[in-house]
Amino acid sequence: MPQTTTPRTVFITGGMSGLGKALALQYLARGASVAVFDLQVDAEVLAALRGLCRVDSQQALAYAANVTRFEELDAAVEEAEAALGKPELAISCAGINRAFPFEALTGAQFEQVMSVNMLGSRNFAQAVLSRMERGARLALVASMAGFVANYSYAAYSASKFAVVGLGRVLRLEYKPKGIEISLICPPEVDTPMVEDELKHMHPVSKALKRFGGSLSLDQAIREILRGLDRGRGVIIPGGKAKVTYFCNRYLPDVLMNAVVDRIVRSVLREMQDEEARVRGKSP
Amino acid sequence: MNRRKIYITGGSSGIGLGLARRFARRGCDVVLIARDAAKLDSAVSSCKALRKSEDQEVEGVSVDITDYENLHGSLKQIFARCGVPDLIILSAGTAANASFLDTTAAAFDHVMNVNLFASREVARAALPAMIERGSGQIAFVSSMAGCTGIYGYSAYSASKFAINGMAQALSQELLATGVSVHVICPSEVSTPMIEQESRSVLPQTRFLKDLVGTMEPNVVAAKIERGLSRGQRTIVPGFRASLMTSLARCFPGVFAWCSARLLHWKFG
Repeated sequence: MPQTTTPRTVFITGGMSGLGKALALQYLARGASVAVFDLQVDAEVLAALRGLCRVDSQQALAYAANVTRFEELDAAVEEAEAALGKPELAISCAGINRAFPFEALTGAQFEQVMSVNMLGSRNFAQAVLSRMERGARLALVASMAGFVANYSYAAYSASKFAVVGLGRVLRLEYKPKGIEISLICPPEVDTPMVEDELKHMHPVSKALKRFGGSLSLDQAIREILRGLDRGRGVIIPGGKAKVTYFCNRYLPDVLMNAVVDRIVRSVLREMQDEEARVRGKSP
Repeated sequence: MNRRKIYITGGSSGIGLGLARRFARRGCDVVLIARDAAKLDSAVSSCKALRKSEDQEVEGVSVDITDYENLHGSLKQIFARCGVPDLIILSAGTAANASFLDTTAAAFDHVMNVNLFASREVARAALPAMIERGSGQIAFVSSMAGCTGIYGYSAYSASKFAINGMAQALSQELLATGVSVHVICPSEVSTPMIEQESRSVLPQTRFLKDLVGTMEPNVVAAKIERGLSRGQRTIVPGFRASLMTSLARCFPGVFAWCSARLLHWKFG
């Protein structure tokens, strides 16, 4: 049965900023108790979360835990469970991006992205799934890049495709146990992660990302919440992102690739022309 | 003189060996990269027996591709000796079949290391020379489990989905270089990896895989060769596998629902 009422206990990773924090605030405002897990606990954010608690039984808790270390995360989830009860909704939000061309990306950077995004999701899933009861839901934040890869996103796309794959398997394994799985695949959303990335984004990535569109945090959160309330298996916030997702589903590979190739080639050509112009001006 | 140079990781068995034998028969130089020295030797001699001419090279490099230091040294040597690859096939892989909570973090890591990180290292080592020359093909052996989720394959599916994502990004980046990227997504192929797995495979996994069927390595190799020569970016060998993959892609919700219903009907 799709879950239509607000869950009473919500566990969120990456809950100190971006999507995680915004979702924590929303669920607290709806009267749920929320536990967030992040690398560090920011006192200001925690105070903001606590400020939303209205009734005595409602709590906002924050734990410093690294999602890439299973034991550490599992211990924090155990503590949260002791304080709040079993999680009715768990959202895996913690994620990072290192956008560099394949050859420039070092092994360490690649593994870091995979560890946080992929193993982090796996670790959180393992920690919460063993504690969930029938009717509960696990939501994994993947990305549009989990369906359609992007130039200079080798690591990020690999990690987000992997999250989608994990979600698909979990859906098969947990449906019989009455636990639902949702995949949240937003396009570019105005968060600290994206802000950081915009400083050095490759022009081709930028051009390709225009297809997915860009959302404000408020818009993205509104649509994600609606998707979760309706118990959707795949949640794609934003109209342009939905169009991209459906094109990727229904159009043949050859056609999708032809469109993407054209854009990549034309942006690369523009870059070359630009470079030649600059060189021509200052010999 | 201008024989094509084919490098194959995981070339001592399964799909890798099937491809190696095929390319040896075609008159290509073949370099097999695999961990097990004894299996590698027998693979090399079986490829040598299929050569069209005596001067055709068949080499074996015994190295554990997850041991990056040794890997880079060995690759450097073999690239220097045998030349820049015209085609490099990343076929080394491992599987873990267990329900999600029974898949330990260590097992998960191991699957990721072999299937994703090691393939990436090999591709990265081969790329600069291929880009400089301006031609060549890189083929990642993924799986149907890289296109759709399969019960009991959380680690394996995650690693194969990751390969598909990485390859798609890489293929965009290499567009202007003349080097092309291919992803191969076979259904089950009767290989030593699958044979080893069959001793402990979950009944649910077995049931779902039987719906698509099992193929022989030489049949798969023929289809892969044809796909590569046509320049297909995604190669799904076999009619049933490509039908299932298309269904899973166009109707992921319906596909998952049907899989779940079938599993429920069969296993309760």
